[in-house]
Amino acid sequence: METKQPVSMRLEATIIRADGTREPLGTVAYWHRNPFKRLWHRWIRGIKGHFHSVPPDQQG
Amino acid sequence: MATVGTRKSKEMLAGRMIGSTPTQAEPKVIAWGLNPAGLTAAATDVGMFDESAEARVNATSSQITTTYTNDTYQLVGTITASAGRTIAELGVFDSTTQPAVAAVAAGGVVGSNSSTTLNTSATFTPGNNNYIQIRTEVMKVTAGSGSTALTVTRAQNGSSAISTIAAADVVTPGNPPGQTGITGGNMFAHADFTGQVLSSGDGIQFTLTAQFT
Repeated sequence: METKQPVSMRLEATIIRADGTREPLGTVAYWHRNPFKRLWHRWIRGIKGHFHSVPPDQQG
Repeated sequence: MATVGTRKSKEMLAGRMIGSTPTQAEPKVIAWGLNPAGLTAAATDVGMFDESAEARVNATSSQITTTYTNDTYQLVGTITASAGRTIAELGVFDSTTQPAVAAVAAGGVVGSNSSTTLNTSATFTPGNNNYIQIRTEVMKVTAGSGSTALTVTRAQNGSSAISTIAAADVVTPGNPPGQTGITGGNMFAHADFTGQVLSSGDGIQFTLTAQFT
């Protein structure tokens, strides 16, 4: 099995619009050497996405 | 949506260990790209899928603590769009130089995973014996650099030969381990993510962390 270093890598992103508005996207890409941790991360992200709520300032 | 350290990153990390002033520069330069085919970043990659026109940016690096003290290398940097874009990939390099890229010619479609002739839409000069990437496949240029008809060796650096190379596919030069022929071609990390639609003047602040424990 190929070993990959580092052990884990995470990419987080925040969009900064031209008018200064910031839109945090959270973790947009992730990798961990342990495949179970990768699966766990995908599952957690799925759960968070399922229960994602609209921020108060964007509610109608 | 993967963010991976490339095979080249291992060589770069080892190189940074040597000497009080290592010849290996710190990989703290970020580049973003379009990744129009929605490809997945892999450790075998040597270049961006489709680097965008904006200049690469020197990020701010630091050591932070995740599990053990100072066990994580962190880069923070912002790139701003000069036009409307959908950004879907990030690369980390040790140089701000963007290597010149090419596009596969309209009549240059490679219809198999074994053909060794690649036609580009304009003269392309990566240098013979240097390496290029199309989609997820890395190839070695064995002849024809400086022309529009390159001879290549397929499936290099542990990548797999792809069966279809389409017209207008981007041809990106890059360095696998042991190679330094492409200036700006040392890619430390590569990440793909869901496309983010930006207008001119919009930017993205990226925070990349690499934990070593």
